[in-house]
Amino acid sequence: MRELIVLILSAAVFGSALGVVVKRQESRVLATELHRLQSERRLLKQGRSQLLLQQSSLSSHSRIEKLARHSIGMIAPPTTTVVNTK
Amino acid sequence: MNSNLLKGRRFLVCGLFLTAASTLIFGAIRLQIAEPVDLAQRAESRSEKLQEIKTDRGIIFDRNNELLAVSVPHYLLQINPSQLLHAKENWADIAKEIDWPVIRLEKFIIERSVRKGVTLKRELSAQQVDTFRRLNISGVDLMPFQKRHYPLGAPVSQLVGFTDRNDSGQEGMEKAFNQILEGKAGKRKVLQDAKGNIVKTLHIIGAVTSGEDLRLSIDSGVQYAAYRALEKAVIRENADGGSAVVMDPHNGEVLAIVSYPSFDPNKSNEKKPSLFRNRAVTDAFEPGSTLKPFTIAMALESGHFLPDTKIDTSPGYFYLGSDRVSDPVNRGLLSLSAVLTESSNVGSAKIAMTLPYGDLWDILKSVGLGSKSGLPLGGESSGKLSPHSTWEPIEHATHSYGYGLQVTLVQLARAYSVFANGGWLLPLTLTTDNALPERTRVLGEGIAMHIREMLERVVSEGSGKKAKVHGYSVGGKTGTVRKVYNEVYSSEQHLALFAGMAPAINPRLVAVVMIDRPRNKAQHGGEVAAPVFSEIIYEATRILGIPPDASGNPKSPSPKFADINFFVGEKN
Repeated sequence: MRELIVLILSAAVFGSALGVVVKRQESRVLATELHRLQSERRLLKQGRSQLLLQQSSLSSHSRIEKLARHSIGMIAPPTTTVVNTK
Repeated sequence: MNSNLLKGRRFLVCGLFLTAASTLIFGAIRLQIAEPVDLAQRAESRSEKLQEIKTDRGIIFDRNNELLAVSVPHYLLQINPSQLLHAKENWADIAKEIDWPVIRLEKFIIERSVRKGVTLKRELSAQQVDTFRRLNISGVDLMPFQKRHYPLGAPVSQLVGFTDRNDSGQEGMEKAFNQILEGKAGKRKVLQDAKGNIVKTLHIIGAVTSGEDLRLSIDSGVQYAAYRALEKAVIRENADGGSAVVMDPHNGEVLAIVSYPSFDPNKSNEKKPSLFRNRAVTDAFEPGSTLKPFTIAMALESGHFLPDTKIDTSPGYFYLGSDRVSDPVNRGLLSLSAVLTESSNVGSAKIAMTLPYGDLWDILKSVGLGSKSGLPLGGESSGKLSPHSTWEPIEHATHSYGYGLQVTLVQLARAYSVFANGGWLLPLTLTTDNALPERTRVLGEGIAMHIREMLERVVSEGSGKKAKVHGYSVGGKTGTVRKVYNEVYSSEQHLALFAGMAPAINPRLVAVVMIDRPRNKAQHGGEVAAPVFSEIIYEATRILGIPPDASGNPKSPSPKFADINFFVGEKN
């Protein structure tokens, strides 16, 4: 009887030890994966920032105004010529 | 077989096993117990390392998601001269990419040959970064760093602020919302090999919180237009500076807040602390005649006055002890409305003085004058409104036409919003994520409407004609304030003010303009500040798509006011 208990407990100890090893490895894999994804997110965000900056410099008020007025000769319509269609 | 021999062999084998086992056990004991700490530390320091997980600063947008501030990665080029010294074959490639003669690079490397990390070039173009990545020369490293860009530059710089070298907010919204924008760097424990390459992540110790984006209530189109109008006016009028605020009176959102002179935060040589000040928030001044509508509102609310009640302002001045209250000319008998259109100091003072001190103080206080506006900007002045228990009789009189108290431009905008939105005081805000703001009723709706009608008359027939905007009804009040110079009111130094709203009937916008010390001949608010207001409203209505409400003839006020039953009129 006593031998049986010892056997069961030994098996349990061995099993949980293996479990710890497996879980620990798993957590490392997940941590690495998390970090990889976070780095990827950061890179994507940086790419987005760069694109936004480009877009913003292309669509800046001063640039549009300059292009509209000087390159294609646009003017702001005088309010006398505006017809309200509401 | 000889049993003795067998016995001897058995002992020999057992002895060998025993020796081997005890060596192992002793070895283990020595490592585990005799000098355990030393070994553990050495093992850890060689293979495990804490590494920071970086995060980037959030982006600041305007209400339409236009970019106001963004961090973008840049690279500087670092070389290891002691390593490159022996890799001459790479010199030509490096030199070519940064436009240096090879001889210069050679000299640069040899002079620094004992050093391990030297910056070769501070800012690389995207193309250079690509090339160096492709070349992948050992001893040449690309070091990333974040640089903050402000695409709109000067027009919005005092509001948005800027960051320091460490990307931490120093001024404006960058400072006010630094924590949110900045996020929080995390930490992880990594295993690395002898060369310092990271082999794997062991575990994450501190989670990373990425910097959040911030959306402001500012409309960059309106902001840009307001800045341009202000800049033009300050230069034209030869003034010291100026500021303007445009806001939505129905939700307290600030659409534009500009000061001139300003600076471009992208250029470090323009960063002078004197220019960082957001004058609309930090500078308190006496509001002068722009305060008179509140005196009239108080009179209407008291029930002792009607819009057509006549006030006798002759002979155009009166004395309170030795102090004189005066108008430039004798304006005779004036209705309440005419006190505003003619901007009579005597009229305002006489109205105020028929009522207790507390009545005037109450209305000024209740519309937020002399109190902070609630904007999250640093250095906001609360202005000054002394308790009425300390007032002398002359102070009662001067408060009624805007002297003796101090307000900021944002306070004035907020106070005028009360007329524009039918009597509600709202907290001001610079962000758009707010739920419905908590509002307080401070003025009757009918009274607010009366004041709007009077303000419209100031523009259509009074001192504010230059504030007119074709196609729109406009209401507002001019102010020409004498500045205090050497502790006395100067007769030469003025602030030119205009505070108003459009469309006057059902206002969508409130705007206030202040020009500091115009030096041309005409220094009146109606001459100097009103045209700036007109220009800003003209642009803002177009940008925001606010439909015109007035007929082609700007002289005739919109008929809608006549249809409204004012409750004061009903009592009549």
